[in-house]
Amino acid sequence: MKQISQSKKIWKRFCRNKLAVLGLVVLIFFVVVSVCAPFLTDYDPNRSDLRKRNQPPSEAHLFGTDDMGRDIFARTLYGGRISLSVGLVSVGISLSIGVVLGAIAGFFGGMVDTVIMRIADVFYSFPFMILAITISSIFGPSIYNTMVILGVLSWPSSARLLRAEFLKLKNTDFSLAATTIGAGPARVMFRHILPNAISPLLVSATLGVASAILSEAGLSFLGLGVPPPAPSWGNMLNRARPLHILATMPWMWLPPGIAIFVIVLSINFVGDGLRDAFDPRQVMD
Amino acid sequence: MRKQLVLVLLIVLSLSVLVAAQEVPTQGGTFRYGTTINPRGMFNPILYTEQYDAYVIDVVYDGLIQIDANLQPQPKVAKAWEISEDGLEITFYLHEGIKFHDGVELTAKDVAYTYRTILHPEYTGVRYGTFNMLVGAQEYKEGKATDVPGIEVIDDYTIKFSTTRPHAPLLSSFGYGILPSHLLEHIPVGELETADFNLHPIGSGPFKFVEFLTDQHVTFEANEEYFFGRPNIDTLVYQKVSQDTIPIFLQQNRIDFIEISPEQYLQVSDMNHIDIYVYEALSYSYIAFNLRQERFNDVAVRQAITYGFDRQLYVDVIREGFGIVANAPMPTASWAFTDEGIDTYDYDPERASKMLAEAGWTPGSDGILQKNGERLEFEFLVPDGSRLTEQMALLFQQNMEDIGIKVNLMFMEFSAAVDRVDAREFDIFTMSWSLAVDPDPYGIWHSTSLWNDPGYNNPESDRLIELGRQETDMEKRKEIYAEWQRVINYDLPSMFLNYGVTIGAINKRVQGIDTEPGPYGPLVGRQLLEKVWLKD
Repeated sequence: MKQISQSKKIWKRFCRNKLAVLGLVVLIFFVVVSVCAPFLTDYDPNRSDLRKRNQPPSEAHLFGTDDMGRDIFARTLYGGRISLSVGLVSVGISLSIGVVLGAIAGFFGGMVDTVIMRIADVFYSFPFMILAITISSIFGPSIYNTMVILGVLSWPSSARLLRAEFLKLKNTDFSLAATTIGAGPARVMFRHILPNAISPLLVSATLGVASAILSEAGLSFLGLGVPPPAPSWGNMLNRARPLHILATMPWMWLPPGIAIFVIVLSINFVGDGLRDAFDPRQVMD
Repeated sequence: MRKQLVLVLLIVLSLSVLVAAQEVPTQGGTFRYGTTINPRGMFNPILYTEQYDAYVIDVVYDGLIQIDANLQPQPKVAKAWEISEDGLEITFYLHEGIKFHDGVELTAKDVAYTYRTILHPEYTGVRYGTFNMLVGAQEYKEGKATDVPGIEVIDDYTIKFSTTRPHAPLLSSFGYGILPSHLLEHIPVGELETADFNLHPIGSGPFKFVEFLTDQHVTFEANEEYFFGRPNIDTLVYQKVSQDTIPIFLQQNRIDFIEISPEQYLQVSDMNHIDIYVYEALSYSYIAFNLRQERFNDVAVRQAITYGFDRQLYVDVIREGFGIVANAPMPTASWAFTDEGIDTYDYDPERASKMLAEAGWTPGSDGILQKNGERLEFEFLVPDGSRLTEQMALLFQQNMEDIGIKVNLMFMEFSAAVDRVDAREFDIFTMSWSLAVDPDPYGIWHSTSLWNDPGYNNPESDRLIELGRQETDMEKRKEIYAEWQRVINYDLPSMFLNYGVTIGAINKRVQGIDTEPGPYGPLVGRQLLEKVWLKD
């Protein structure tokens, strides 16, 4: 009988989920398109040409132009770079904080656990958007601030998740065995327990990217995220807010709106697919 | 023949009776005046600095005089005035029986209090310069005297002001709302700024203040006892509206009057129940440089930046033609406007680059111009709330990039932006000035004036400003101001963007407006609010 490796099993299970695969394909498509933006359009996304403003889609401007005469196709592509990198970086930040604090809380328990988890509760109990708006207006809107704000405000969920895993795993035989042969707490935590807790974390991180993209769009829509002239899907929507644009110039808000919708949906499909694939209860036939 | 004439006369008479019958104003109703920016809450006629506070002050207080639609002074609280032959004394005769909203009578004492406070050593406002020529004003301001001889209460209904030298804008400066001295004189002048009164103003005007809710509205009720006749409407509301939703509010009859932006013009002009008026306002927009910084203190830099910004494109496209490119701070609507000898700084980026190079600015490794360690990279403070301003800022940013200058945009709520400007914590910023009817630029541009935000200080400009306000011959005065405009047009302490052209949208149900508006628009500022009525 041929031995199939764990990761291959997971990949096979993932591939059985049609929606997840579709999501992955779309996601890869968006990433490739954003990264290759300079090769796909000749327009500078920040360059305005007021004499050509408010133009509907045409051959010269595939998606038309906005109220400053900037090419919307170019802005959507470059906006994808910003939205995706905000999503990835902020999840990176929140994971780094969440993993460390969650692991410590779950492993040591007791007072340490209580303190860390109460801090998490404090973060949880603030309405996310209001806190984000406040911080953003204090430090001023910028791409990096947006990444940090989103990262710092969303660590408690991954911390909680990891704490639960650690509580479960720290009393298993393999971690007891590691401890008995003299491994220090750091080694047990990160070398032995963490790899076994990685799958739920991966799922939550994936979904986290989707919600970070949405939050960035929300913040930028309010004028507190990515500042102009750099494009992000959120601030493109913000510029399309006046009634006459909403009513008569759909090319200004359809592309960023559809992009957000599609990318968030496909990331969620991928996240769902990953969760199912990691689940050992799913039987392979 | 004679009989016929009588008949004709009779017909004319009865016709006019008929017309008059139709013209009887209906009483009652609520007038909603739309605004896009919150007032600060400084509803004090001698301390306020923001236009949106003036909206409130205009209807709560009455001044000695008021400026009418033709920019002429008209009697208000003062039923008449008399100017001495040498032009140094002016005596106001007050109406008897005018009452403040709390029932106390307004007398010359209140007028004296209002103007004396402006001259007080501890006065925190910015209007001292408007009255510093009154006899004894300077001694009083410096604390050397306890009274101002130039403000003399003759009896309860007569007050005389005297000046040390002729002062052309004098009469038109007496429009400030009269404060109730009985409510304020116990407060030290230095603490007036923080008095609760400023948020709950009491004046003698047509409307009583009811409440101010930030981001929602300011409401007023008609002053039943108003000396000049109770307003026809019962309630006045200044309704805060977000710029984007103005057309919806107009469409749904939720506001009766508002100033709209050019890009809304087409949409609003399609609405059958709305009339649109376009008028040249006494205002201009500008980008002010902070001359306290060395880089902006160089006139070549300021001129180069002006050459480098396509203001014509801004007016033609962003403002859709509603505006006139400005090159000096004297609007076309003012009698003192001139374009003789005025440099127009037509868009010329090559010339701008050349000027900067000649002034010693060289591109650094990142392409941004620098000189002696100073970089032409600065923050541009832009108040929120107007899409036009945002678009202008974006265009400016791009135009500057083309000539090697990096502009970082900083969008900020209007009041917060004003605070930064007052603290002189800015590199450059953009705002507009709404001007008084007299062209005297002292308050904004004299080197000693607190409103001189850029920090402009040119002895020649100061000399002309001082000369201008002392000259009572209009033609000579006009020539002085023309000369002054040429000076400031060269110096450019601010880049002048455009003279205001305002588009006012008003619901057709509003009757009694000025249908051929001057610079103050169909409601003559807010003066006609006490006269208008609403047809169902």
